[in-house]
Amino acid sequence: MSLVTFSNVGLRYSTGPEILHDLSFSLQKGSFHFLTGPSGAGKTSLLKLLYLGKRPTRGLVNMFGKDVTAMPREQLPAMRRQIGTVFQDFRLLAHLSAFDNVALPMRIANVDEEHTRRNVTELLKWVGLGDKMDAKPPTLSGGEQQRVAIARAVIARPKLLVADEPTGNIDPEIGIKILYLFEELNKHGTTIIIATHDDDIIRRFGHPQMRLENGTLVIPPQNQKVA
Amino acid sequence: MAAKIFQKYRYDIALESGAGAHLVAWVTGLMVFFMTLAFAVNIGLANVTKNWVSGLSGSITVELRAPAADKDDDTATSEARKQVDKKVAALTAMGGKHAAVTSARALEDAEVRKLIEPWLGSAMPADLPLPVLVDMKIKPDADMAALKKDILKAAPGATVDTHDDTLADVSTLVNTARVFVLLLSGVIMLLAIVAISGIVRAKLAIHHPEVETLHLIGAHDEYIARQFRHHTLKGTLKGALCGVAAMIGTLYAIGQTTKSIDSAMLPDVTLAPQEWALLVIAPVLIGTMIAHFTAQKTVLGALKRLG
Repeated sequence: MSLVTFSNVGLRYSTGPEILHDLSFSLQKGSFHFLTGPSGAGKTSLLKLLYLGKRPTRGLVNMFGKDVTAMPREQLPAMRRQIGTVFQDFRLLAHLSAFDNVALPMRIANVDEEHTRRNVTELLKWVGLGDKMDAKPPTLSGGEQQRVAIARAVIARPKLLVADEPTGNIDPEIGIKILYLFEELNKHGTTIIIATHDDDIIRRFGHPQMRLENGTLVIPPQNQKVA
Repeated sequence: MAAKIFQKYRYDIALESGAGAHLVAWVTGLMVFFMTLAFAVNIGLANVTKNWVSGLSGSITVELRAPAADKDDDTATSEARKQVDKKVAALTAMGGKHAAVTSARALEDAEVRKLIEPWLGSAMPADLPLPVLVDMKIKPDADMAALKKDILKAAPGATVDTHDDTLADVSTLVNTARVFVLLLSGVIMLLAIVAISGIVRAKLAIHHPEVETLHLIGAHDEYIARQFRHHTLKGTLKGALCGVAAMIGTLYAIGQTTKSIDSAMLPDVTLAPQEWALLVIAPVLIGTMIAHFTAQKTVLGALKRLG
């Protein structure tokens, strides 16, 4: 069953050149892919389409059974709440504590505060930030900020997890631990797509790759291998 | 409700810090300050008119020219005085008898002096010839033409002042001033709306990255607008309370200062407790509502345009 389907999708920013061309693929529910490709190939742009940060300039995108290409903007928040995103620049809110940053998706979804507190505390302990729950992002190291961003992306158990270089700033041991967390989520049905340059991680976890070159998908997803 | 508004609120957007965090409070404070002033002037003018109208309507003043003193002939002076007294007696007698008059009373010299004091000052010479004034209270449905005729019959040469012209002039002047003050309040409110809308837009631009992040993790416009609304409401309430307090203080100071000025030209403007209450509540309520709805409309409109 396809969770995400792209049909002849193209993307350009404003009046600039087309960054992504004729992308056609689908991601099966529960699949796990690494998105690879050289810098400037369009990985971040593809991820933007996946986390609904952008809409395609042509083609069709279907997510969770709904056409998002022409979806009214009032319906987008509900769609986005089913997607967890680890942004390349983390996008943490600097004046909020690590705890409050991670709790955001649950508070936005109006989950009760006690449940939120329990889950956020548990997850922050799991990513090794149990003693930094009250720390503000500017006081955390790059790796710690990345772990907060990852915790925020997974806290609401999204249907689709999109991560842009999630292990880029953290030491290998923590990186592997984070990947195990993603695998755990994947086992519970979350579809995962991770943009990475880390060959060790790709080899170690052995999930199929999608490869982008010059805005074109040269290796499409392998949907036959679903976890 | 106020306690709930002022209690620690968790903003996902850093609206409480940075440049311009308290601009809304300043703008609302100034708006409420001037609105309270406009309201006070309006209420004051209404009271002045009411006092003057109630003092003058329902009465007429009959004026008898002062008996001219003849330096060389005391008998002539005394005769002229007698004539005037006779006319006064005839006029005051009308009080109990005439169908249109309920009462009639000749004003004492001291009262007449007090009336002309604003123009001549308090140091009037003791031998200043004063007109004789008879104040007549008349019935509401009195036939003024007939009454005037009867008065002139009883006191030939008297001048009858029905105060109609004075009342009309005063009313026109005061009503024009009140309309002007109301228009001024409207302009102040309009300026405040424009300023608050600009501040909210600037805040949205400053906090655009945070707003975008919230959108991307699933926040809907209302969730974001609620934070701006709360921040604006809090700033507005603070500003409005400060503005109204400052104006009440100013009015009190003006009241204390003018109290010591001994001038019969200045009308006595005293506000009733319910007018003071209106003066405190109305500008705060109006100012707060204007800021609140302006913020709400501006944020939702701007978020919609973000796409």
